[in-house]
Amino acid sequence: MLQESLSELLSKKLVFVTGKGGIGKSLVSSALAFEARKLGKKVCLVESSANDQLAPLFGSAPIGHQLRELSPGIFVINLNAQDNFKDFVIKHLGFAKLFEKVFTKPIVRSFIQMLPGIAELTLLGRLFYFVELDSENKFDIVIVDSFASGHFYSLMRTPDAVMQSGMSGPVIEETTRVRNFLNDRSKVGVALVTVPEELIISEALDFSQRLAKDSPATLTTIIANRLWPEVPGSSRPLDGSLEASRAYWISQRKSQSENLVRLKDGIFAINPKLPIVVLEECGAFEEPLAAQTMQDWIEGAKKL
Amino acid sequence: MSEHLSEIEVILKKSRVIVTVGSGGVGKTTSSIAMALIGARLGKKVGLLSIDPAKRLADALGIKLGSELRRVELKANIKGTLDAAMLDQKAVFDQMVTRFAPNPQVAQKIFQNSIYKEVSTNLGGPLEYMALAKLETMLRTGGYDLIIIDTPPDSHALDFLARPNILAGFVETGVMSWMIKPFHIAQKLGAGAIFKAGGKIMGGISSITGMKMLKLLAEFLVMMEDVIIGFNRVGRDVSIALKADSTGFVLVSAPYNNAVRSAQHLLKELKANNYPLLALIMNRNLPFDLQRSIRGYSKTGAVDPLLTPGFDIIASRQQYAASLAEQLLVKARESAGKGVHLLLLEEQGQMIHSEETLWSFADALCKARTFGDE
Repeated sequence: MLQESLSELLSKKLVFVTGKGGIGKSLVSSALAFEARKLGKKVCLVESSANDQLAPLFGSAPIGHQLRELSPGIFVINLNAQDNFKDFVIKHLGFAKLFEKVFTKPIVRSFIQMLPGIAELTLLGRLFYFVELDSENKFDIVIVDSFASGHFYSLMRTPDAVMQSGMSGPVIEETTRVRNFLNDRSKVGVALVTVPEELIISEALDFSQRLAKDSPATLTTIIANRLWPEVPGSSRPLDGSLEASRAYWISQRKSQSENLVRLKDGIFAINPKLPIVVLEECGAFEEPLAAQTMQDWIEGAKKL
Repeated sequence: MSEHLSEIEVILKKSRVIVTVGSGGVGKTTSSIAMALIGARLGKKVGLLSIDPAKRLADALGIKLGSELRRVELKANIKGTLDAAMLDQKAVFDQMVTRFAPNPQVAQKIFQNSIYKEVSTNLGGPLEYMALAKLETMLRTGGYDLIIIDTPPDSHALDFLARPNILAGFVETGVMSWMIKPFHIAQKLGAGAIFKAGGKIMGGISSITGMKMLKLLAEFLVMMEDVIIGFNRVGRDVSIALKADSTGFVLVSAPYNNAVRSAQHLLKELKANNYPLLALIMNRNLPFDLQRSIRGYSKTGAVDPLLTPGFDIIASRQQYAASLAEQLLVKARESAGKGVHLLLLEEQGQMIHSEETLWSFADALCKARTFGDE
């Protein structure tokens, strides 16, 4: 059975997965995708990274700006800034002719790179498109293996920044639409992945606070990853050299428990209703990921 | 100190500029600081430039985030010195504008331009670019025997070294003059002239972003013209300096899949740019004692089944780490030659938040195990 707050997350149309680098964002995103699939949904898993993180997890060739079905019912795309801009102008703003005439020129492309926030804005625009406007694919859920927390915060600040930038016309209309969409809690969710280590918890709390204050999209759930299993109270004696392994396990578990208390108190102070779930440490996952393993792992999530 | 120098000390001794690269969460900034400390202990005048400032590490050494290099007052009694700057984006950007703007009035106008405000506070790219500028200043004004640069935390750290070329392209393709000319005219004749001078393209862009944005952008570019040309010169100088023999790269990684993938990607980029790789550092390995301990464990052995969940985790992590380290070293030697070593460090049991803890990390780096020697 999937933990309640994760089913709430999977009931959204668009889910952002964020968190500090190297703590399992891509794994959590993929596990959520497999689980959503199990619930019968048509899934679009999105990344936006020049260094493709998802392809190796699915044992696939590099993923580009083209939708591909990597596993039955799970589509993947790696969005890049230049194609986003093109899609944004043609598909959202409806300026296909203009694009051909104007924006294909190298000179204009350089110029576009100078516009502040344009990459972020068009990325959000593309996500909005996949969720609300894509009549061809009709995805039930779009899961974004998103940027690390600092960059994610900037991404969420972009619509407001653009609206205050002095632009006018179609871009502002479109940005307003995207902002209202991100602000719709029934459709958009954010999962923050963290691990119970002192420093990372401090950063997670700081990030949660800033996001709560400044972002149109709000946190849906906190996922504390890599919790070690409980150490059994008593067991048969071990041969000498293995005692060090048990001692390590005990110390990991102890420091993790202390950090989970800090996380819980800190999050409670920011939003008493924000749920926290813990996912267990698995050592290492075999690649390509197996659907069953990932579903078991995510279903093993427990409310803190 | 003994005469026998460790691998990392040998590298630090012979280098003038070291650039650390690596993905996020692998201890890159900590490793950079540790190398700076070791360099200073070797008697060098060290300058440390961090573009990925961690407030905690800055606090540990009493460094303020900003744009200025400041002497770090170390408690430890060592021969050399350490100056450090943890770059704050806006401060560095402002400093560059002040330096290159034709006069203080233009600089003031730039500071007030809304696009400038946006660019200077919110965009990641310029910060990296600014760091190059800072590096150029450090190289130009001299006074350092060893400069260590801690690059941004993503896997595209080398983009930032390529940035001078991006900007060079920007000037050379004529974007500047194309953009600026109509606006020079417009400033004289009024905004309506923009459309005449810029033709269809200007009109096209303005139909999407609105006129006001275009005007702001043009104003920004007109004012920034000298500044951008200045940036460009700085970029070229830095590119040349980075190609010099005394510059080398240290790649920092950790025994995680994605960190090693990023590292491999960086290896390719280093190779493509002809940047020399001096060493690989792999942080966050399981403690060496623990690695020895877990070798005595096998699932079929006589261990209480109650203990298998935790032991399985340790065993699989150890196995994985070893195979990742090997994989990385093989790739590194393929691209950078057999002389490259992979230094293995244990994960740090304590949080690094003081000079003392940074020194113990530095000592660990000196005593790091070289992969392959057991």
